[in-house]
Amino acid sequence: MTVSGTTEAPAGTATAIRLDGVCRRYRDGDRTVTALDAVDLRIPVGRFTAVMGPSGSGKSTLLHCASGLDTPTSGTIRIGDTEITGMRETARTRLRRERVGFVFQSYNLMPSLTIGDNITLPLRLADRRPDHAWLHDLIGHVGLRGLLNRRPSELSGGQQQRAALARALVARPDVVFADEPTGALDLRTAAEVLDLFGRMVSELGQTIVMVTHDPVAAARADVTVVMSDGRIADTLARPSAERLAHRLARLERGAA
Amino acid sequence: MTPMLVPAWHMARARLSGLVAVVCAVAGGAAMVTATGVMVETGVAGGVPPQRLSAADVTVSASQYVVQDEEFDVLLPDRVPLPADVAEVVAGIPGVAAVAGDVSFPVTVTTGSGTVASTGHAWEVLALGAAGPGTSPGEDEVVLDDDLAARAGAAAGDTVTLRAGGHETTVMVSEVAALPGTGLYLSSSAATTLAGRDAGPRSGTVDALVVDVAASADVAATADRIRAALPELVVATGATRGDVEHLASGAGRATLIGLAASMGGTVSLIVGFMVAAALSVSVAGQRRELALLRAVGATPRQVRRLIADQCTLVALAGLPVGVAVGYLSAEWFGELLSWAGLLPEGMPLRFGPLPGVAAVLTSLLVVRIAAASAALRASGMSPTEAVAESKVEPRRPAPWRLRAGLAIMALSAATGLTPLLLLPGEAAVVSAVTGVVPGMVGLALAGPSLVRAVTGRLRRRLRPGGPVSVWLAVHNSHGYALRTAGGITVLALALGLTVVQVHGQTTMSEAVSAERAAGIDVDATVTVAGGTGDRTLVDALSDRPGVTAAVPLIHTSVVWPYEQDGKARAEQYPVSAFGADLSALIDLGIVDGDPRRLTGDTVAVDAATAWVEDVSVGDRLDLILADGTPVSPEVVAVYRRGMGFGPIVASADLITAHTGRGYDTVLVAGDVESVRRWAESTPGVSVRAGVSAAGLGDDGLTPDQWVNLVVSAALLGYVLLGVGNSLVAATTRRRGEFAVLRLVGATPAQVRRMIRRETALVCGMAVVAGLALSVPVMSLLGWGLLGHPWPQGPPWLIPATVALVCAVAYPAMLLPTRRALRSSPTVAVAVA
Ligand SMILES: Nc1ncnc2c1ncn2[C@@H]1O[C@H](COP(=O)(O)OP(=O)(O)OP(=O)(O)O)[C@@H](O)[C@H]1O
Ligand SMILES: [Mg+2]
Repeated sequence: MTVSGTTEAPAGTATAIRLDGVCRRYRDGDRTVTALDAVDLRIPVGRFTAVMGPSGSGKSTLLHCASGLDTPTSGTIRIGDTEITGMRETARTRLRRERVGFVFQSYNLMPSLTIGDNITLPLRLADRRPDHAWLHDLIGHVGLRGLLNRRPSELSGGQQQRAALARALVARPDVVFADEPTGALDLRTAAEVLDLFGRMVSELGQTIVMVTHDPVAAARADVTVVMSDGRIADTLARPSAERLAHRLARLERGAA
Repeated sequence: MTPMLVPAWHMARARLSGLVAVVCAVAGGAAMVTATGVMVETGVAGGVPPQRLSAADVTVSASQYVVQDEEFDVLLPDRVPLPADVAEVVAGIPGVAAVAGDVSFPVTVTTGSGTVASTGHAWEVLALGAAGPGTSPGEDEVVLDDDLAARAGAAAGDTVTLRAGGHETTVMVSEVAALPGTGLYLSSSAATTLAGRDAGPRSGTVDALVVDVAASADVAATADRIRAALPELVVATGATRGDVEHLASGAGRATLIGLAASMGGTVSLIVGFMVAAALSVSVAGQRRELALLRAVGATPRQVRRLIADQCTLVALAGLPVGVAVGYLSAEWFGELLSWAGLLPEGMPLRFGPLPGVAAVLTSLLVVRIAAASAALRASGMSPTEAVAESKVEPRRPAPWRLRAGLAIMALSAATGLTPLLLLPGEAAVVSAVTGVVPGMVGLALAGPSLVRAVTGRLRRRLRPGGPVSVWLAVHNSHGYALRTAGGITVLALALGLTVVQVHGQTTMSEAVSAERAAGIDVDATVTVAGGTGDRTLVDALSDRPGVTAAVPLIHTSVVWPYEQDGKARAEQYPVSAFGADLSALIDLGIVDGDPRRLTGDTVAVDAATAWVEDVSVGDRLDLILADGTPVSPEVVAVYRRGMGFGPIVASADLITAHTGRGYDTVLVAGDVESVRRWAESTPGVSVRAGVSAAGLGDDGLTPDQWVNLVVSAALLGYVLLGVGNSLVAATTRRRGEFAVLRLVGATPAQVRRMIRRETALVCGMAVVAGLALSVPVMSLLGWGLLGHPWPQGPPWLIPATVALVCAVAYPAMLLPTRRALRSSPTVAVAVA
């Protein structure tokens, strides 16, 4: 079942990202694995979208393609009005660092740089001056004030993930993607980071797309996309955590 | 096989680039150890097989050595004769069937077509034993070896003139034959006369006695009996007879051992250094896996075992190639030595298994030690620490490294430079040059802290709006100071070593040239074939119109025995022995005494040697001449130009009176053309303008300096290969880092630019460090030897070496970066 997410978005809401018929196949020896199978998806601006699904269902692949980190085998992807499929690596990277932020499960900070330098790295790469007021606010938001001169190895996992989030937001991207950002964190820290994501949407109007395995986390989202076998199985608007858990359990049994 | 060997192998496969570096370092090291080993083995057991003396069962000769305590005995270059009447003693020993005296002497052969130099022998030696070749020459006859006959253009029945040691005789060629030894053969009495054994200082002596053992007697037992009867003489059988026949063979062996000893130290330090560097890169690359192993329950011991096993495995892969290359390069090096005249022509190298075995054992030992120290950190941490640290390298270099490194650098500078300040001379050059390698070890220890300090300063000075590639490069070099310093140290080693080795040689040769240029005023050099010149010849030259002065010269050497801490020691010096009127042509830079007194049993000594040995004018020195004759000449002058003329200058009389040797060279001032015309009518002499033919010129590097340069070049190649590999391995390891940068928005071009800047930083710091360690030493050397602080030598050397170092570093860092950038960053970040 392939469902477009448009029904859930109020008319007139702008589209941040749009995927049309996106396929991604991996060549694995002489076998091909279809990680994404003709996916259509519209991510509305200013909303918190959660992506759920069993392991191996293609969530990470979806995020990598949608963010321009990876290129689909076929189909088109637009960030805002710009089609990124068919762009060359360098042009895509330039667009990506202006318009997209990414948060990984393993924080992927540069060990040799301080937290402050890690956060502003995307700006430096884009040769942009940091907007000091925004930077100040952002660091306040993620709660890293006073830790900017430390190295990643001197921070806790939660703090590192906050720094990664700040890095993703520093260029004021149109969309922030997060792939299981709380997957490596304990429950309390995970809840704090999720709170932070929530506030980014509500207070700053940031568009966020987040992969999570936690129904409670997904329940905070405006829209939840459920994936299965490389397709979008469901698009649910503000589902309850119980309903999501149930849906996932069914999918996983089906997959088993 | 230990159970950890299987994971060791799997991990080895996963970290290929790091291990390739180890393989290369080990293989190159084994090659150099093997080649050095071949030289030692040849030096100890090799030699030219006997030819002329092959018919003899036993030879009896005088010892060619001046005995030293604890060190290799000093080999005398000229034949030490023994009294001919010893033959009567030998003949009386049971088992001896016949005894003959062997004499060899330099001789010139003049035929209608010209004059060639050769060596004369007594026929008797060939004819000893069962069946000698051909018929023995009569009193007025000579037998020529076919090679000599071809050179001289003589055939059987021709009449030739022989000149040797002031004698001249005309004889008929009775036979031309393929003989076991080269040269010409005379009857015993004719040979004795021409060899100067019937009168003069060598009267009643022979070079050796050759013994024919009776068919019924045992050779070894007879030799033992001779030995017992004549304990102070050398009794040889079998292959060692070759050394008696070919003095150069013994000299070549001594050269090989000396070379191996002088190279051995530097080679082993550098091999240890490079293997340790490669291993630490390889182990650092696997830190994550090792940490995970610790986390899943491997004990520190098991981790150490694992690393040691893996390194041994890898080393074993490199060893066969290394040993094979070692044997091949030894062969090639042997040819180089023959070309340089340091090894006699036709002296084969010995390729026994011992050098290979020694190379394998020492390599494995070095690998085990280096692996143990590289593994120490990875195995010593708690598992959680290990996992946490596996992502970043240790943040701060251990403080003891800085202190120890600085201490070692200071110490090596002090020990290397002190002799230079006290006594500039050849020994000082050697100590300054060898002091640089320990200095590099110090730099390797202190390097990370120094890199942190330098890049820390740079970091604070970066312009805020500057290019991000520079900014990243500086931060990376700072954050990964250990990794950065690893590359820098080895590049600096390559640069510093080259500068020191080459400039050490060139500065010294320049110092020699400068002193000679100032002290020699000679227009032509007359070379006398076979070293048979005498007073008549010199007088004839002086009487030529247009010739203002003619000074005879003998190139020889003396041994200066002394006592040190109650132990017998001896030092051998090359010596120029001049005729009495040398002051007309040569200015030694006299500081005391009178060079005009340099006649009879006298010598002059250079000021530095006089100071060290506490000698002054009027003293007598106890010396041993090149043929073993003990002499006690009086010191009549002390001179300043010791680099140009060596530590001792002798009176030619000292040599001629005691050894019967003639002049090999005459230095002439005046009209060269007049000398040339004279030479045309004088057989056995050749004329060259200037003094280079006398070995006193300034025509650059001597053959042994060339050999040193070749050794330096080989070491440089090895070091550069090692550093290239290490850089490739270290850069390949950074795939994850590059992926993260790209995920955050760096374009591949930006990453490449960053690496180019990092390479520039690494090269820049390496150049500064390499020059800082080498240029001051060279400046002091130049200052001490030449009086000005800029080192001598080709001006392109430093720029060219810098360029070479960069030419290795750039591709070694950029190519792996390009390869890493080809894979998708999402994949790369997952596997890194
Ligand atoms: N580089 C690759 N090469 C081959 N197959 C791949 C590669 N990356 C992903 N896949 C396959 O594509 C499918 C989707 O993978 P993906 O990582 O998107 O799953 P996921 O939903 O993120 O799973 P998880 O919840 O475990 O992270 C899987 O079957 C996976 O094995
Ligand atoms: Mg995933």
